[in-house]
Amino acid sequence: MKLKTGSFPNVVILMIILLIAGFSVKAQDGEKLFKANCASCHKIDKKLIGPALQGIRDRWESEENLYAWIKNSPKYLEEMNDPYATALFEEYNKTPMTAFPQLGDADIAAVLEYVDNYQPPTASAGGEGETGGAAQGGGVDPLWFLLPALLVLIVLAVAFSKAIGALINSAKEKDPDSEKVLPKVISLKERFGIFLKHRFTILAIVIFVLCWVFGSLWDGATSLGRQEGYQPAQPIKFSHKLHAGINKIDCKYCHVGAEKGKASVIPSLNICMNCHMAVSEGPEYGTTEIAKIYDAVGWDAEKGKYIEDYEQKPIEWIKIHNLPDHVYFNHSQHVKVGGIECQKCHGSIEEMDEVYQHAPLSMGWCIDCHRETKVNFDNKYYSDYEALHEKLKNGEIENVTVEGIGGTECQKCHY
Amino acid sequence: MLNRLLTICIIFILAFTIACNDPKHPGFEYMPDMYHSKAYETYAPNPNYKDSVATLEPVEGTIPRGFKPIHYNSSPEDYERAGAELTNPIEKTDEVMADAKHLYTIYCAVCHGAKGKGDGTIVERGVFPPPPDYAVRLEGMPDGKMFHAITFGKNLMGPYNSQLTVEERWKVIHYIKELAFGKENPTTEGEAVAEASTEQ
Repeated sequence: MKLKTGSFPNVVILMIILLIAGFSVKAQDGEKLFKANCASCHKIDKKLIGPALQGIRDRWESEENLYAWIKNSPKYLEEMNDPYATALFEEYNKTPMTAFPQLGDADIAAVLEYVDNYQPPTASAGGEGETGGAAQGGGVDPLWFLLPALLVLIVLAVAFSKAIGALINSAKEKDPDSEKVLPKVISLKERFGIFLKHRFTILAIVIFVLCWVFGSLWDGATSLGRQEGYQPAQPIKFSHKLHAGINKIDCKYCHVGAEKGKASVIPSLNICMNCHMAVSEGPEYGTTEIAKIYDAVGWDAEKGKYIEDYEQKPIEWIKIHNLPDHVYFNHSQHVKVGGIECQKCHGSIEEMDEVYQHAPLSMGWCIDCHRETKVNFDNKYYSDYEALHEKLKNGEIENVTVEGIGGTECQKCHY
Repeated sequence: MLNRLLTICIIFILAFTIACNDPKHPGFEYMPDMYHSKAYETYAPNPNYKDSVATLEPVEGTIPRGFKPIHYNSSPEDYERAGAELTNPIEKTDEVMADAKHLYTIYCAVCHGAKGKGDGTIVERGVFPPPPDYAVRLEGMPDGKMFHAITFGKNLMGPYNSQLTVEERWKVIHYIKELAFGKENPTTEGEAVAEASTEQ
C-alpha cells in the first residue's frame, strides 16, 4: 500500500515535468523560428513594419487562411479575395509580406504558440539603466587633497603647542624654581607675528605669489582661442558611449564624410532613422530624447510612418571642434589615406556620454604629430614621391615621416 | 593702497582662471578676425536661408558632376523592375572585394553580422530586431532587387543612398553574395540576367 500511494504523485509529477518540458521545447522552437523569420518585420505587442501579432488567431477567419497567408501572401491575395487580407495589404503601404514556403504547418503552429504565450520583458529593461549614469571622472585638482592635509597639520600643530604650553605653565605653578630651566611660553599670536616678520617667510610668500600670477597669466594667454575640454550641452542628449562604445556602431556609419571629404559630417536625420524607426526608447532617458528626432524629421511613432508634407526642422548641434578659418584640415586625408584612428585626435569618444574636446587643436599639437608619424609609403597616393621611394629602397632612410613629405611646410595647411 | 591693489589683482586672476576652466564655455579669443570664416561654412547658420541652414539640398532635378542618376523610385513595383533590369556593372576583383568588406563592416555588419547571419552587435544586444540570414533570404534574389533594397530601404532597413554611392552599393552586393553563398557564388551574373529576362 505504501508503495502505491507513494508512486501515484510521482507519476503525476513525472507527467507534469514531461508536459512542461515538451511544451517548453516547442515554445523555444517557436521563439527561435519567430526571431529568424518574423522578428525583422513584426513585434508581438507593437506595430513595426507589419502589424502586432498579439491576438492574430482571433483576427483571421480560419487558421487555414492564416497558414496559407504566411506561406505565400501574394498568392493568397490573388486567389482568395479575402477582404480582411486586402485591407491589411492596403493599410501597410501595399508591401506584400515575404513568402515563407520553407515553414511547415508545425513550424507556423509553434510560432503562433509562442506569440500566444508571449510575456513582455519587464525587469530586464531596468538592467540597461546603469550605462552612462556614472559621472565623468575628469582630472581632480591635486590641490583638493593637499589643502585638507595642510589644514589637519595646522590643527595638530596648534593643539600640540597649546598642550605643551599648558604643561609648562602647570609645571611652573607647582615649582617656581623651574622657571629658569623651562622655556618661556609664547602665545600663538606672538609666534605667528614672529613667523610673518621673518625675512625668509616674506621672500617665500613673494616668490609664491609671483609664480602664481605669472603661471596663471601664461595659462590664460595660451588658452586664448583654444577650447580644450570644451563640453557644451547639446540639444539632444546623444551618448557616444552608448552608440559607439556599447552598441559598437562604427564611427563612420554616421560620420559618413570622414573617409570621403573635408568634413566628417554631422549625420543627417535619415541616418538616425535607420535604427530609430524601430528603436523608440533609450536606456537612459526613455522616449524623450528620441522623440526630438521624430519631431525634427516628422515621424509618427504611433503609426510608424513619416508624416506627409511635414516641415522638417534642423537640429542645432553645437560645434565643439573649431579650427580657425586660416587653417585647412581634411578628414579623408587623415582617416582614409593616413589610416589614423578617430580616437587619436578626438580621445576615447566611445566612453563619452557627453562629448568634450580632447585635444588642444593648437598648431604645436599638429606639428608634433606630423614630426613623429611615419607615413605608410606603400599607399598609392604617395607613388609620386619617386626620390624618396628610391632612398627607401637603397636603405638611405628607414622611413618617411609626415614632415618628410612637407607636413611642416606653412602652405601645406595655411593657404 | 598697495594691499588693495594686490587683492584686486588676485581676485581678477582667480575669476580669470575659473572662467577658463568652465567646460560649458568655449573660452576667450584674441583677435578673432582671422578665426571665423566670412564665407558660410558647412554647418554654420546662414541667415539668408530658410531655418538658417547653410547645407541646402540640391535643387530638384539637378545632378552632381559625375553622378549617374538611377531611374527608379521606392515603390514595390520599382523593386520588381530593378530586379528584372539591373545587373552589377562592377567587376569582382580582389581590390573591389577588399573595399566591399571594409564598407560592409562599417555600414552593414552592425545588424547583419560579420558573416551575414543576422547577428550584428545591436541585434545580439536585443536593441534592434534581427534581420534574416542572407543564406536563406537571398536565395534566387536578383542583384537588382538587392540594389533597390540598399538604395531605398526594405521593411525595417533604412535607405543607404546617403551613405553609400552607387558604385559602393554594387561593390557591397558582391561581398554580400559571397557571405551568403560562399566564394563560388552559385547565382552568378549570368543566372541573374537569365532570371531577369524570364521575369520580363
